[in-house]
Amino acid sequence: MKAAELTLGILTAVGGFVDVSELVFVSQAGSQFGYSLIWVIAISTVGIIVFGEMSGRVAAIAKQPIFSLMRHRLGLRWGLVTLAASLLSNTITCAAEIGGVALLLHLFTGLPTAAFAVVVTLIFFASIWMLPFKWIERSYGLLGLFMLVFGAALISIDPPWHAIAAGFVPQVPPALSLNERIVYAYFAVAIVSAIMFPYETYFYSSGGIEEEWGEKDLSTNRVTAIVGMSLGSLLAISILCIAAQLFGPRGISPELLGTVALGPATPYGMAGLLLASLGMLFALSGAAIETCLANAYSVSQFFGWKWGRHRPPGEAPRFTLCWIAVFLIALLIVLTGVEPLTLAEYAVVSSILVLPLSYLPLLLLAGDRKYMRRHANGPVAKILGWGYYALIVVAAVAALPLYFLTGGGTS
Amino acid sequence: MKPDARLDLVADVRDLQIVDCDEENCGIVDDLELEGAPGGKLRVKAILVGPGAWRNRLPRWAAWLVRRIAGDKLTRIKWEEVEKITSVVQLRRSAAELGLGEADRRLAAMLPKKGILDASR
Amino acid sequence: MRTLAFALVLPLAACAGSAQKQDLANAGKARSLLAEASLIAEMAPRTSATYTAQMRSAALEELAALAATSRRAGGPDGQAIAALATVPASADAASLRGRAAHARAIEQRLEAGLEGS
Repeated sequence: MKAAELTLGILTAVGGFVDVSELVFVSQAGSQFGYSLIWVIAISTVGIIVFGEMSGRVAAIAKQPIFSLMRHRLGLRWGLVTLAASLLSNTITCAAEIGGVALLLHLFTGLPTAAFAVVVTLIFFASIWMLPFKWIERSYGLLGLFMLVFGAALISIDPPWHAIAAGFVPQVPPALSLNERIVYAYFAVAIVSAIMFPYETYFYSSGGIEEEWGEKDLSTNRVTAIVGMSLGSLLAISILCIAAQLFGPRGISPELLGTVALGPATPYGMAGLLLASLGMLFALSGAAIETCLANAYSVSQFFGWKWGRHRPPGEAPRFTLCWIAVFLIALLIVLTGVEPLTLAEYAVVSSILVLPLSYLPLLLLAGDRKYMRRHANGPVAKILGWGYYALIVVAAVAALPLYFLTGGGTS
Repeated sequence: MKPDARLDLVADVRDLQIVDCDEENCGIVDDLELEGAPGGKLRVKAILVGPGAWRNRLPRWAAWLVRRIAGDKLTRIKWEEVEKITSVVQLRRSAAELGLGEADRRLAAMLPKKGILDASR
Repeated sequence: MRTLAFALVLPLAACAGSAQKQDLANAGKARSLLAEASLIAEMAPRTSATYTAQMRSAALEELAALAATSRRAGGPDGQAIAALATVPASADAASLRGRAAHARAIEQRLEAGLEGS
C-alpha cells in the first residue's frame, strides 16, 4: 500500500511539474540559447526540492500551515505585503493557466476561446467542489503524464547528447554579445522563478495538513519531493532540448503556445500533437487548480479562518468563497483578451519579486526546534536552504531591471 | 508553553492562530490589551481579534483601507479564557460562546452543507 | 548656447537609438513569427486541418499587429519590417521562410549597427 502511495505521489509530481510559464520560458530559452540554460533548470529543480521537502516536513511535524506561521514570524505588516503580492502573482498565474487551457481547446476545435475559458473554469470549480482533496491533486497530475511524449520525442529526433550533457555545466556562452548576455540572464531569472513558484509549496504544505501527514510520512515526503520533481524537471529539459533542436535553427522563438506541441508532432505526427496537447491541457489545468487553492489557503490561514477541502464547503464558508472568487477574478482577466503567454510573463516576473518574502518564513520555521523538534533543518538542509535563499534574493533584485532592459526577453 | 511561564507577548503570542475548545480555527491574535500604571506591572487583560485591532499596527492609510474593506469589528477575549498556548492559542470555550467566527456562521447558511463525494476524513 | 544644443541633441540621439532598438525587437519578432508560420504550413499534412487553420490564423494576426506597430515607428527599417509582416492569406511555407530570412537579414544589420555605436 505504501509503495503504491509513494508511486502515485511521484507520478503526480512528475505530471504536475510543468505549467504554462515553464512551457513558454523553457521553449524560448532553448530556441534562443540552445542547450546552455539546462543547468538553470537543474539548479532550480534542486531549489524547489529543498523548499518543497521543507514545506512537507513543516506540515507533518508543526502541523500548522505556512501562512499562519508566516504571519506569526513576519508580523502583520510584512505578512500583509507578502500576502498581497502572493495573491496578485498567483491570480495572474491562475488566469494564465485557464487562458492556456482555453487556447489549446480552441486550436483543436475552432470554437471561441472565451467560451472555453468559461467552460473550463466551471469544470475546475466542479473538480474542487466534488472531488476529495487527494484526487483533486492526483487526477490532474496523473493525466499530466501525457507530457512524457516530450521525452519520447526528444529521443526520437536524435539530438546531440554530448551538447545536452554539456548544458548541465553552469556557463555563460562566450560568443554572446553584451545584449545577448542580458537576455540570457533574463531567461535564467525567469526559469528560476517559473520552477520555484511559491504557490507550489503553499499547496503542498496545506495538502500535507489536509491529508494529516505525521512523522511516519516524512520519508514519503522526502522521496516524493526528490524523485518526483527530478523526473518532472527532465520533462522541462526535454521541452528545452526539442526547442533547441527543432525551433532554434529555424529562427523560431515560440510566440504561440500551440507551437510547443509541434515538437512531438515532428517525429510522431498527429498522435504526437494530440498527446502533447493533452499533456499540456492537464498540466495547465492542475496548475490552475493549485494556484486557486493556494490563494484560498493563504488568505484563510493568514486570517485564522477554518479552511480545507477535507471539510464540506458549508463548514469552511470563507475558504470556499475565497477559491470561488479567485476563479472568477482569473476568468475575468482571461475574458479581457490578454494573451496567456503575456500573462505567464507577468506571473513569472511578479512571482520572483515575492520569492524572498515567501520562502524566508518557511526557512526560519523549518529550522526552528520549538516547532520542529528533532526534525528541524540539519546541516545539509541549512546550507542548501540559505544558499538557495541567497540565489532567490539575487534573482529578485535583478528581475525588474532585466525585464525592462530586454523588453521582456524580446531584445 | 504554560500560560504562567515567561512569555514574550509580542514574539510568542501576537499573530498566533486561535483555536477554540473543539480545536476549530476561530481567528488570529490581532493584538493584546494590557493594563497597568506607568512604572508598575503590566498585565494582559484580553486578546483582541478582528480588523478593528489593526488600527494601531498599520500606517494610517493602510488602516483606512482595511476599515473600508473589512470594517472595524473587534472582539475582546478575556485572558482568563485562554486554556493553553503552544503553537496555537487554545481557548477554554467554543468560538460561538465567545463571539468569534460569526462571519463563518452567517455565510454557512448560504452554502450547501455537502458538496463532495467523500466529505469526511 | 552650446549647452542648449547639447541638451537638445542628446535626447534626440537617445530617441534615435531607441527607435533602432525598437526596429531590432520588431525585426526579431517578425523573423520568429514568419518562421513559426512557415513551420505550421510545413506541418499541415501531419496535423489536423482545424489546428493548422487556427495556428495560421493566430500567427497572421500577430504579424498584422506587428506590421501596424512597425509602420508607426516611422523609419525605413520599420517600413521594411511592416512590409515583410504583411503576409497574404495564401502565402505558402517557402514564401514565409523567405520572408523570415529577409527579417533575419534586417535584424543582423541592426544588431551590427547597434553594437558598433
